[in-house]
Amino acid sequence: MYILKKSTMQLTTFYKTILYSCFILSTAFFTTSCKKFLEPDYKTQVTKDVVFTNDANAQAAIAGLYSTMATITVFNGEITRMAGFASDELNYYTSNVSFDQFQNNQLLASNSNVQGIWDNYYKVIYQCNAIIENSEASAGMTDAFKTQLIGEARFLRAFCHFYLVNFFGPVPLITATAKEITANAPRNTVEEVYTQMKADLTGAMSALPGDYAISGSKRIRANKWAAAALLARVYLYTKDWSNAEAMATAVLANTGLYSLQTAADINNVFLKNNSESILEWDRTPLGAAYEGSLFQSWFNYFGYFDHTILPTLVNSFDSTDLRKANWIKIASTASGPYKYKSTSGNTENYLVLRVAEQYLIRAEARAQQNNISGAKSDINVIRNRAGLASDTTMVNKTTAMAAIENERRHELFCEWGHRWFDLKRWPSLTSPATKTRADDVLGALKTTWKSTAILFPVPQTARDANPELTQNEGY
Amino acid sequence: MIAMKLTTILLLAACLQVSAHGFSQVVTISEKNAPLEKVFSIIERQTGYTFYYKIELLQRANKVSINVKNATVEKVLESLFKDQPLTWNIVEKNIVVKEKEVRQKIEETAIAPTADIRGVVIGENGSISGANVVIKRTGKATVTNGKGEFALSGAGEDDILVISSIGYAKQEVPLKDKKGFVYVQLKLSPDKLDEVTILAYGGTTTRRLSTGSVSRVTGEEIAKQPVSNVLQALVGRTTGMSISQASGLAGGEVTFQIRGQNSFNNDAYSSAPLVIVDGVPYPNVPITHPSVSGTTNGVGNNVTGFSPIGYGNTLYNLNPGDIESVEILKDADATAIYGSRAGNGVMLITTKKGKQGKTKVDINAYTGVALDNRRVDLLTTPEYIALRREAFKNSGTTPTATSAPDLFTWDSTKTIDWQDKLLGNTAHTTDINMIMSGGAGGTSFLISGNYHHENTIYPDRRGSQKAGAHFSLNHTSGSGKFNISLSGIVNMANTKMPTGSYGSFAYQAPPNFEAFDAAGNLKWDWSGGNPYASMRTSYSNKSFTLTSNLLLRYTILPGLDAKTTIGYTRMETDQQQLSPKIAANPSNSFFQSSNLLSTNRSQTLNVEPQLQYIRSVALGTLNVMAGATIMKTIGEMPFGVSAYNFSSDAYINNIALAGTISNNTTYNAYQYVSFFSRLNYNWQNRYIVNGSFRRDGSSRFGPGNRYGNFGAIGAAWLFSNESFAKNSSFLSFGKLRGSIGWVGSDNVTKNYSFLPLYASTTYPYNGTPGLIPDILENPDYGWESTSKLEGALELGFVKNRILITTAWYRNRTGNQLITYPVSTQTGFASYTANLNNAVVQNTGWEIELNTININNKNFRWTTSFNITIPDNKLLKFDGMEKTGFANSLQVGKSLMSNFAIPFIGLDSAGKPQFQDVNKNGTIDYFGGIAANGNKGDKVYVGKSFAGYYGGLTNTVSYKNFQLDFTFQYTGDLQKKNYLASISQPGQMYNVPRKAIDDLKAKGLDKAFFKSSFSTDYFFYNFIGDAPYMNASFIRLTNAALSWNFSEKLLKPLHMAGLRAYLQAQNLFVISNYDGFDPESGAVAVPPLFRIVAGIQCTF
Repeated sequence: MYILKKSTMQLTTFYKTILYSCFILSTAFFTTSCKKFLEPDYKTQVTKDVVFTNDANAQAAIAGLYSTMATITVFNGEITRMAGFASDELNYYTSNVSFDQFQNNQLLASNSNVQGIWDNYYKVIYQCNAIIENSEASAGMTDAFKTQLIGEARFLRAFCHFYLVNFFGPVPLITATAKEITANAPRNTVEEVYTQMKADLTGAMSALPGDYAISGSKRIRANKWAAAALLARVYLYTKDWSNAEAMATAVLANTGLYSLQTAADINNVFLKNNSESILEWDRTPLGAAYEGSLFQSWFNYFGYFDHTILPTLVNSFDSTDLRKANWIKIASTASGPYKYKSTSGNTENYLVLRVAEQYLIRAEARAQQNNISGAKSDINVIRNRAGLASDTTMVNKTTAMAAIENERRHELFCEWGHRWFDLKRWPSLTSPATKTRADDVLGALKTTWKSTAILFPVPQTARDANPELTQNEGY
Repeated sequence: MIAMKLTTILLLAACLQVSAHGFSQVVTISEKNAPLEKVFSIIERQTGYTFYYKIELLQRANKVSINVKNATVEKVLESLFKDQPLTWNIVEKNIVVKEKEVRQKIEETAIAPTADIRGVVIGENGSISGANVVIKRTGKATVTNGKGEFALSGAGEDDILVISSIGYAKQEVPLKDKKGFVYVQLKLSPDKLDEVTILAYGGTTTRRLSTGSVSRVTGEEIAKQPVSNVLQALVGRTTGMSISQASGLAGGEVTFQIRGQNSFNNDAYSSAPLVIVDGVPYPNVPITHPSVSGTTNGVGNNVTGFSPIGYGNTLYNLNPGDIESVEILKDADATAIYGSRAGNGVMLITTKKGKQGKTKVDINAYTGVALDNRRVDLLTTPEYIALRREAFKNSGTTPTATSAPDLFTWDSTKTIDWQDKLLGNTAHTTDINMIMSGGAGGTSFLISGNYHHENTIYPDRRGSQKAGAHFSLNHTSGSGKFNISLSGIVNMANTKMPTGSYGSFAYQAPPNFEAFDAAGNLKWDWSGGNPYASMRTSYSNKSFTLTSNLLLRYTILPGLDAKTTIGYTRMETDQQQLSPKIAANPSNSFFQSSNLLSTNRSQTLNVEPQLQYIRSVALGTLNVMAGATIMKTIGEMPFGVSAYNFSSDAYINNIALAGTISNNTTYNAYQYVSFFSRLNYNWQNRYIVNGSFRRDGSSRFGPGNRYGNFGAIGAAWLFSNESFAKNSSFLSFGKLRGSIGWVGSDNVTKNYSFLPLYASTTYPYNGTPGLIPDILENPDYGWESTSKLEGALELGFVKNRILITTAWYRNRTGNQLITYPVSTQTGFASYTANLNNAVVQNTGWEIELNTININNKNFRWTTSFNITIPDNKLLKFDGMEKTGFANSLQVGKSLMSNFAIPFIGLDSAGKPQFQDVNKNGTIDYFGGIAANGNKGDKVYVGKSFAGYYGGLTNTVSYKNFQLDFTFQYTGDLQKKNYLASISQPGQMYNVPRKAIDDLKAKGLDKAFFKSSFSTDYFFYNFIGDAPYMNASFIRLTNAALSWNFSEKLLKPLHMAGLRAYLQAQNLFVISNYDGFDPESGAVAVPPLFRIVAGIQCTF
């Protein structure tokens, strides 16, 4: 029964063929290629073996590292404003949940800006470690290229550890990529972190060339002198005065490469590839430096700054100081930082290390070694460039340090947190044994100041995921 | 074959007599010397009858001439067959043609005592394969083959055959005078217990015979609800499935979960059920999700908050009107055959198919409006200004025109109702659905088209449009051995929205803030922005979905079928987000006009060869199935462009005119193979055992971890079929069933996380493109596994007018496949890993009650009630203290627990005080859970998943009227109220009056109402327990009233049916929750009240 119609009879052969083919194909499939079928299939990503196959491929890894530095905001101006808020430089014009915490030095462990620093600096450290480990293991890369890459990665690893240790105090020192090693690593001592930074920077110095040939004369990749400049700072922060002086001197000795802009050209200091620049992040594809739009855009529209320089800072400048006239924009209601002037265009990169700081490092190192005249000559280089008369106050270590503080405050204001770090690292003038300069200065400025605020809190998320991480005192 | 021909009289058996007259229809034919076949096809076309005959027979037939007008079929047939060597009879809608002289042969053969009986079983859509045929006296049984034929030996003249098949009423056929051949026409069962339920791989069962836990929602139930996403139509109608609407926007996100959250990962996706449409896996996550596209990417990722990209929204692309039924497979027995991927349950969607018979056209259209009927009482301008002044006073600061324009320059008398402005508009919906279906001979078809339009309640009224088409073809060859069916669904959706979150704006915009100045320009002096500026942004999502399935089946031997399904699903979305300059505050330091656009594509090819064997073994039926799955899903983003900084808004659509452009491309495939088998044995419909086994391989795991084995056993005992219960007048149905099994999951957040992958950076450096590490690789993870246990008792009383199903389940998930959080000192926030030392348990009770309260000729009232009482618990987690989970989980508590520090009142200075739970002398605001050691003061304060939920549906029909209404209820859960979503009172944002009153009553106003950030407020709101509140609710989810026009009225209109209806969705909510809606939360646009009027006509 259920006997159906004609043409279907021929069709059955057709069906049969299809069906049997399907069965045969799938059987064949299962017996032969099942294993192969399950192999990963991706096209737009590559594995690390491919990246580090040869020099040409590995170029992308180092470009990726610098691209990260050039794009993530905590490497491009966030440090300036967070440390500026926390110290005596900047205020935000209105109440802001996160910024208030910085300004009042009452950070919460949940503060997302603090977390941004922690997360991204460690993210870069991972990238550096990956470049170091994989270059070393690579069979196809040339030795010269390996040396170059590892040198740059070690420089940036030290760079990141520098900011971490200065913001957070003892932090985990991360020199490997394996999560088994890093995930639950506890906090190292500050000394351990500095020791590694010194080793990395020394290594980078010997690995890297003394010019900018690899980046086509653009000062956008770390060279030997960038490593030396950061090392000078590291020695200074660890009170290794003679080495700090020696390193700064080594950098400054390259007069063909590095020189201060003249007083007349003081507005060139933050331009691309100027003679004062030791290292900058290339912002070419993104337009202007982030810090430029961070501070200038609001002003350009409203005529006043949202990030305002504290009047105490503005007023502390000598009225003839060219830096006040050129690096601060005095507005009717409030003044704002004006080192970066552009919100668009391609005239400014983001300056990371510059020559002026090396003079200041050497001045301080000399002063600490009681070479007051040497210190004075360095300070005068900076003062004269700012259109100021040579110093007359520096007669002993104390007065020299006061002059150095004044000069650092005015030369390096709103720049990579220099002021915040200085206040932290210098002892108090009144009770040097127990307090810091921050207690003197910020204690007088803010009712909410506490000594423990010199360290930021270890982010809550980091501690949640790594129970080995202790919290800083006061949080 | 002899018996095959011995059909003449036998076919005039009972069923024929019943039906022959009732189906008479008139025929008009005028043919001369036409072949009989031609006339047959004319009759088929005019009447919907189908002729059955053997081709050779017609070769012997004479040509015919006929000229009749409006003659009955019988009359026509009489004259056609007058001079033929053939005869005929009508069985239902079938006309069977046979040889005339056979009659004598039968009589000859019949003289011998009947030892064998043969026959054929036919149902509504033709022959029924796999029907059970049992000799009542001996219990000897067989099943029908692909043509519905069977043969049994050992049956005598006095025996009675019992014939049953899934979905049909059982029928007893006495063999007396049947001469060795029976023709059995089964009728669809009217009993709810016998409705066909779809199972894995195209299998079917009924509620009566199922060994597993399956809930079913029919297309009819879905059709009563004017929703655009089928998930919304399932609310309150199934047990074990929680569905929650995240917003009331067109195509808004809908989250769904079957039997709770198994995964530690909190994103909805990790516990996403497997979705299968017509046998083919359907994307159950947004195709922009990293698990599909490979990496986080482009536009979709930036704007997941906007519909229709969120979770659950792939189903927005499916037209609810195309759906025949949705089956929710829950326990191990029902899901294990899907093995891995079934760990979170399975949602099977079956689309409508054509049916044999006269071609039918069905047009259904509705139109209606939707509005937001949930409002929150906010401060008026004088109250707001008073609060602001108080806040400045408390902060000890003096407001200035710069810091507080609301106090100085804005109108202090006028109160603007922002809820009314932004959410107070009326949205419109239009929906049209047309279906044409029919079939004759062995072929049936269905073609449908639909259009849906829905806009928003926002002032700019943009919204969503969908259009789609669906076809289904089915053909069975003459021999009955071959079956081919092909179906395809194409859908396009186009949604346009502004990108702001207007729910928040409606709350927060100060009541005296004017969006425009006198010159009509946008004002920017409110720090919260300007809602009308966001209206100038645009987010659009165009999606295209193709779902197609080809099925080939061949009966190799009686009872042995070979089958292959080939399915292909393709989903594409084009997304674009435009942020022109005119939409931004000109002072926004970082704003650059932008055009972000991307195309994402997901394609799945699924091939499933299978063998199925059915035969009688002893007194039962054995059904064995074996097969394999080969599947490949390719997720691609062929391009994702972020173009920024256009010199003019006029150029924004041309990316070549952008200042900066970055491109991104992704390609990522996922492969999956598996071998599976299933064995089912049914002993006399009393004892049923069902076992399945499966071995799965997934490319989501590294070498060595790719394969997993899964399986389940389910059993049922239908004790109502035992002799002791058989004669009970009270108990009409009783079944005890249980199952145990293991299923798996390969849901990973990112594919290939076992490889050390590098991905490109957005920008090159010094002209060199960059690569950076993309993931923290872990080569060691493998299958997650869930063990499932279920027991259920199903009872039917008073002729099944009362049906109760009570089920208990326990699922335990181990070897959790999660994104394991690590401290970012590793360079990453997490990596993919298994947690082999932790077990999550989901248990629960599910009760379903269906009653037919009144069943008269004119009046029928049915009720269905269901309740699910789930529990979720972290059963164990060894070494949790050493992990990042120690601050968010507690053994013995739910994964969705709320932990907070108890607020205990105020100190003398008016500062809020919290309990020092761990008694260490300080309040550890950022510490962990006190119970996990002394590292913190947080305690368990409640859970955010419902302790019970369900629905109640009543259907009342009186004559031609039908009224349906469904309540949905959810209880015993906590959510944060609007305190957690609003700004600190006293800032330049409006706040609900109740929040202010509450805080004042508690004496917290001094500490909280400040113009600057208050740490106390932060702790109270985000760390303390105070903002948690009960979010239980009852919602009248749906009400539908319809009227069927009587046949009398329709006849002159040549219509087969006409129905007019009014349907309403989300009529009201009863809840104490402080916020827009307890389901979508405090500030999201709540589910809208929608009412539509529609008409459905059938030709």
